[in-house]
Amino acid sequence: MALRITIDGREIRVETGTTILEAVEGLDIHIPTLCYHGGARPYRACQICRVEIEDEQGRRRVASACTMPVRREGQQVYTRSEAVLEARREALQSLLASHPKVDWLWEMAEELGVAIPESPVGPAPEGCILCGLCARTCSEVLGIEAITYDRHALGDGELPLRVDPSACIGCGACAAVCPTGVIKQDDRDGWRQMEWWGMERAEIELQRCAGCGEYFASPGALAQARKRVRGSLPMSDFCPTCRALAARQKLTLEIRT
Amino acid sequence: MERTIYVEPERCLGCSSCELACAVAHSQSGELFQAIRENLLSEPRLQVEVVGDQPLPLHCLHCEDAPCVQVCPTEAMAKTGPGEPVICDRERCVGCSLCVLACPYGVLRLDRGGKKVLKCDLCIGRLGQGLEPACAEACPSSAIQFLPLEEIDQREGDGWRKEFLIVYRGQAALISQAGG
Amino acid sequence: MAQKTLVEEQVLIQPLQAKDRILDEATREGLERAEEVGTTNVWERFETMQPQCGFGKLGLCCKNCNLGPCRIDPFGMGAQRGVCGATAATIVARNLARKTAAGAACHSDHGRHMVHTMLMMAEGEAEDYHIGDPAKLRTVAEEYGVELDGRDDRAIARDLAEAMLAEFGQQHGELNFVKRAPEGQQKTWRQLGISPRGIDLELVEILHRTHIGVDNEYHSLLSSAMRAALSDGWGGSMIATEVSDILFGMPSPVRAVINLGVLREDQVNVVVHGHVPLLSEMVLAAAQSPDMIGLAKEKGATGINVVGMCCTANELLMRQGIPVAGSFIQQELAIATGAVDAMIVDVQCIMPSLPVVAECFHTKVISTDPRGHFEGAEHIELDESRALEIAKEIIRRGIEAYGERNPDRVRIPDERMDLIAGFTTENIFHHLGGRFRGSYRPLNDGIIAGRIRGVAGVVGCDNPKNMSGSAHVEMVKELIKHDVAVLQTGCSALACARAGLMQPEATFEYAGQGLQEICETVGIPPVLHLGSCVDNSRILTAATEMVKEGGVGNDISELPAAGAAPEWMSEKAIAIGWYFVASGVFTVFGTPLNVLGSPPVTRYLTDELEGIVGGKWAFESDPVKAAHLMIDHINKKREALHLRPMMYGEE
Repeated sequence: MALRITIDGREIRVETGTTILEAVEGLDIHIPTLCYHGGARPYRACQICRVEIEDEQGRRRVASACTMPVRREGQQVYTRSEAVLEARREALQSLLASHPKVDWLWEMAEELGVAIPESPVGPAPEGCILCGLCARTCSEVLGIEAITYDRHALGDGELPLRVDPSACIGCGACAAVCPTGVIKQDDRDGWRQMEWWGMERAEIELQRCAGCGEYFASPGALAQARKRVRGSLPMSDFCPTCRALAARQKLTLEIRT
Repeated sequence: MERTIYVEPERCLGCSSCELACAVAHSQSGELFQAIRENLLSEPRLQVEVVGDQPLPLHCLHCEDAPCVQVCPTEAMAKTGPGEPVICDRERCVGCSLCVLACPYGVLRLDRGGKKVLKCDLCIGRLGQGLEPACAEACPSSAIQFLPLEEIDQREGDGWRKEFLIVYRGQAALISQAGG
Repeated sequence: MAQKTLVEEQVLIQPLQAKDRILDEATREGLERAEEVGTTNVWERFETMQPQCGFGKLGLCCKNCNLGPCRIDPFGMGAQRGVCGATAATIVARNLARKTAAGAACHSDHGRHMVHTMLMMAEGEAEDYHIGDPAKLRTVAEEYGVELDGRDDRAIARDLAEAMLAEFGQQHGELNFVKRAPEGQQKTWRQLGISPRGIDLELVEILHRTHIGVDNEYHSLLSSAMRAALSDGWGGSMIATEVSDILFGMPSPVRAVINLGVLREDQVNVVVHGHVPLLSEMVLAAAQSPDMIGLAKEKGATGINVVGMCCTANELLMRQGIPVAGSFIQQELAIATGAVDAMIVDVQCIMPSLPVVAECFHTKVISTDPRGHFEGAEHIELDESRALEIAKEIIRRGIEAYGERNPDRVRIPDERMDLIAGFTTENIFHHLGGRFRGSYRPLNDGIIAGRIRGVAGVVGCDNPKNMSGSAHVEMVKELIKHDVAVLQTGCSALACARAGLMQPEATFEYAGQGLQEICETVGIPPVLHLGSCVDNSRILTAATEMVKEGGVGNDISELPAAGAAPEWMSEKAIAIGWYFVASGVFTVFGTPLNVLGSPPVTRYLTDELEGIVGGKWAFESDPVKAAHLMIDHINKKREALHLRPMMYGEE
């Protein structure tokens, strides 16, 4: 069912249950996000996407746009009210405490007049904003569970992110989704070196292509791919370049002979 | 889809105009002179490489039962229906590279940022505007064309429709030889 | 249900790369070292460039004006005319004409430089240059109508220089050396209106004609290309050859050594690379001076090793017997040995990547010509009025650099080959009969009698597209096996020299019986090194001598002769090919000229031209097949002359 809501004075129509963040997609209304990722369920970890919503009684409160669904016809949403900016200041203070390498956060902090400690303070390792995207991707999305997020640990003042390097399949998704670059993947001399938050490491020996001999895949990731494909995966021991070569050879056979 | 891409390999002259047009079409600005100055430079989704003396553009074939769709853990890779292209929702892509490993033709790869996969989307944005896919429009020797399905059926029979959405000349014969 | 796929598990045969076609051991080793060190090289860049654009290869791309850039679809469905209306034939012919002009410009500008320096010398402004061959000075001066009686060399040289310089700016008439060509050729050229009028004029006119909307008809465009090429072959190049002989002496047969192994661990290695002997002769003289040798010894070297690369190597080789480090394609590998202290370059065929390769080592790349600049090179400009002084400054830089050489990073491939070079039109048969001018009688008699089938000129560059030099070797081996005497120049000569074909022993190992007998009797190798690329003019005059001597044809087009550039790379090769074709010689190129996009133009070049100028083009990348195209052509000419059948039978 479609609803009419107003965001910053603009009326738009959305399906009921759409989150506010999804509602503004494609419009030129910008709600900043950091821990949001289309591939994982939203988590409210970074608190940057806060907006102010008004209920039927005209009461206003702050909520996270990534998880707040639109359910009421005529709902008012504000993305830059004073309450929103104040909420953002708080979020920034906690995010920037671990000095993440994300330029626009620092720019925003400067704009809003937020004071940041000179050197990083814990419990997160330097640069980590505890968004948990790595854990959500590895555990919920991929089902590998090499990286896990223990909420309760945070309450105890401990680092909630845990990694079991021996369970890592070396796919590199955690490095790809990390918004602050504190998970690193470095392929070098036939080994994939994973490094999590500057704290834990894994070295995974890469597999050589059966055709050209170049290192092309982590065996664990390749095994996952094989597992998930129905039937067999042709040329799975060959790198993409060799697979492409084989396809090209097939497609041009008639011309070349 | 009423039309699809038809490739005639012997017409390919290796000029790479298709690669250039694809990259520009998928850039932020969509325009050549600006596209080459963008921060994260765009990349083509197809590649022209030589086999022996014959250059050839290798497209994503938009397989009907695509392995990339089967392995994608976030359902970023999806096909809206039979005879439709396989599209990657970049928002959902987590950069796990399982699709890269699953594609039997090696046409997928992560972009130069290393976080998202590069996937031919059959230029659905352009199709929505009544335009042809950028590669077909750009190809100066008509090696890549955007033809009505019936016309392709006349040349290739219609068996290809069960397996792929993109057709190379003679492809149908090759598949029945391969046996899967 | 599982997807049916195009591919199954298979053992893939990895495609061959350009570097897999290298046969020369030194080149292979040198490349391995370059790859080890991680420096850029021509073979890697060639692979990265694949696939190379087919429109370019076919000649169907035009960038001459801003209506474009345009390309014609050879499959007939896309554009069939450029935006201005030009057809494939127009575009192909325009492109070819421009390339011809560019190539001719290089040779002619080189000639101009030589003449200008001769003038300076004659007027006392360039004391470091001298008249090396007074007899040749007089012979050539006489051809230019310069007064000889009772005049000293300097005066004659000045007048000759002025007369030659005037030809560059000449606006009508005919270039002087056209008179050297056989009557048949002169008549043909005049009838066709392609006799060259002035050296610079022919090139400027091509730039004009190939502009949008000027000359759009391919016969006309290609005639002007021929005229420009003739202004090179019987003009600029010939002038360069003659003046080089005048200034530095006419070459005579000399023994020397070639390949990367000529670099020395115990000496300062100075490589001269490029084309103009005005630089390289001075560098050699500087390196041989006692003060420079002393300086080198102070630094711990046992001496200074001047070696050459490319055409300037040929110039120094022919006259001074200097060792040759390598050809065009090996230039980066020389630096990658880690043993080169200074690489001194002037103009043409010098890879812009040299300073980048040099960055991995202590090597100093020094550019010397105002027309040739390189990012990352040091520029010490040669001023002819202080040539030796500047050459010494350059040598000093090399000696300094020697001090920075790291001996642990030196890897010189242990490959060296002896060769004999130094043949000219005048001296091939010089020593026979004690006459001053050699006689071509033994050659012509050998051809008539059927001992020698004919003569071939195998010239040109080396190219990773072909066999990085070895196509020359395969072709020449096949030719001499079939009793064809081979004349060579340029990097082609160097490739064959590397393979040992320019040693006397090669006669017995590779030559057919008839050719062996002549070579033994006359005392020459079956493969003769005639010099640098401007020295292709020597092949023109040698052909003319054969005609004059008689019995093997009334003009060049009737000679049992053919030409080839199996690994051509440069636009200069196009100009050379053209002036041979226009002079009546059947000429085979290893990869096609960029003309196949227009079938009418291709037919004109490879077929119809023969009926017009007596020569035509052929394209064949397999060197043995190409050799047989030449042999078949030579046989055809023999038949037409009613010569005796080959003495030792046909193979």
